[in-house]
Amino acid sequence: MDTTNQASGPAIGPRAIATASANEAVLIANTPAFLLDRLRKDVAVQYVLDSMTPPEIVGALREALARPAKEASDLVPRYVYLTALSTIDPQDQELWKQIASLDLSQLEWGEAMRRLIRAEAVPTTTLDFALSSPLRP
Amino acid sequence: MRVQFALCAQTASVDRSSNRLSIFNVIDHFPASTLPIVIPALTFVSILESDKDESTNVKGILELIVNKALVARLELPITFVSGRLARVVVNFQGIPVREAGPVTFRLAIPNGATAETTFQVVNLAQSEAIQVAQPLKA
Repeated sequence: MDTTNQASGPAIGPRAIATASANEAVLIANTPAFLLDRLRKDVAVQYVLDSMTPPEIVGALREALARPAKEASDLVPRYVYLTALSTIDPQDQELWKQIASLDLSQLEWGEAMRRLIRAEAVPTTTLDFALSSPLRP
Repeated sequence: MRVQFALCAQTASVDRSSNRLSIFNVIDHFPASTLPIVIPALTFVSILESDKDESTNVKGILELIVNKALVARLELPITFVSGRLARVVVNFQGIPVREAGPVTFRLAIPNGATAETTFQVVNLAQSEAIQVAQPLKA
């Protein structure tokens, strides 16, 4: 993936999402659950969700993981992409298979965060039902 | 299959980023100053637990019973995906209640559990009249 923010296409450069607040979250986090909760609220994750589709996020994470992290800040975009995956439809089996196949070994808390995200992906059946002419005799 | 819980609330929402369920203003009874009334909005929420780990789809039947009268009956596709839990959130609008009494929501899973919850519609005018007729002893 390009390291700059591109005007066209869905790709977002890692520098664009390695925001100061995301960096801080990765720096101060002491548990995977804390990092996941903190990043979910971060503008970087919101930016990814607004700009990329779920398959694109998985692709971007796979691509980022294929390169070794040279410095600690290189890990931030990877954690941001991983956190963004928590919005994926629990019923999208194909995508969950792809997520399960990701090699997260270079992320200290990658595996734990993936487990948390998977555990929270409970499918919800939602229905709106309006009763018509309710008080007609 | 097991029912973790079933309840009625004013509203419920699933957080987009965390997929966590929030339930607001659980309804344990419904005070009505006049009858008949229409309950404008109400949400039925239930969490079901599967015995199996594999993905399964089941068809549930949700019935709304007001004072022993069946008011609505709907089929709900319920999905368990590689896990044990499934949520059901049904938003009802315009529930007619003619007189005080129980309002029951019953979600039945064929060959499985039944999730059921009931709250009472209380006629406030009537209960006030009873209190006036039977004043507290000094």
